[in-house]
Amino acid sequence: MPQDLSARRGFLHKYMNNDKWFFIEEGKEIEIPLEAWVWHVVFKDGTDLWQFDRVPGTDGKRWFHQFREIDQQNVAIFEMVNAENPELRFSIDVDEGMQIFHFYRRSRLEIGTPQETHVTFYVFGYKADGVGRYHFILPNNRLVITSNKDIKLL
Amino acid sequence: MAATVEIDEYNGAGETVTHGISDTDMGSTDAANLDPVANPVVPGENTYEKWQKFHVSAMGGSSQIDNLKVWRTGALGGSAIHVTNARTSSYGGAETYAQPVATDSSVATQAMPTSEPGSANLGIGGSLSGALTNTGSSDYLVHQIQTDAGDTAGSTSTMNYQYDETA
Repeated sequence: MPQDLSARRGFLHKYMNNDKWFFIEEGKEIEIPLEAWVWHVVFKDGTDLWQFDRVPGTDGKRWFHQFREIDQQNVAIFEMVNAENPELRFSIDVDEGMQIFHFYRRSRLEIGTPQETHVTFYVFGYKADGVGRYHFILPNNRLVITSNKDIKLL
Repeated sequence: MAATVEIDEYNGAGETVTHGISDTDMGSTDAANLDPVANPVVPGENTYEKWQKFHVSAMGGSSQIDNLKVWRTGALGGSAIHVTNARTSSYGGAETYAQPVATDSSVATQAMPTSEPGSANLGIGGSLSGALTNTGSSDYLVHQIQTDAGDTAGSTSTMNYQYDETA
């Protein structure tokens, strides 16, 4: 049955530089800076959830959402969206039995030198039948797809 | 903010901790952020061990840190070797702190990787598959450079650290 993708209307909304997102951690409200890539899920009923709210809630604030808030059983589409250029995105149609995941791989290279560099790979994908399919978004926005979680990219 | 992760170093008999070290230079004194020029190693001798940890001081909205990796880049001078307790198999578990020594380390006994390891090589809670779900620290990373009498002083190599963060 075709999915109702109405939740993707307004998909090309662009995050603004002065937007702020908040999260309650250990009882305190903290601000979460926007990442270069953000996740977005569309559920089977057509509703959706953005990692970083696109619009303020009734309390006037935009909230940051943890991945574990996603109801995995009801995901139709999982996608990564480039925050600066929302036309740039990678999507997975989620079938029965697929368990989606998302994490950052953070590298700190040549620590303590003038060449010290911090690199983040945005990793997402799914596991099905015990096999993982890992999608690594590189700093140049290219995508590497592999079954090797520990693929060497540096 | 994303999780705040720093490298802490532990020195002295009393385990003095220096949070967020700015470098991991090694030399002939047991100190964090040391000046290797002022504290050179005599060829044939060892640097003092480094005892360091990944320290997650704030989760910053994230829920888990795991898959810790450390490695060195850059060539050591002469026949020097860089040894560590970090390893991807036969991991020895969480070490108990001992004052850093400049004799051959009994803890750091395997060559430090010179490229990104194929899997985690530093544990959390004594296990390579361990994870931090709140603020806290990794197991100790212990490493030392052992030189040869014929080595040339002044080689440069740098450390690299990596972790996975689930938000």
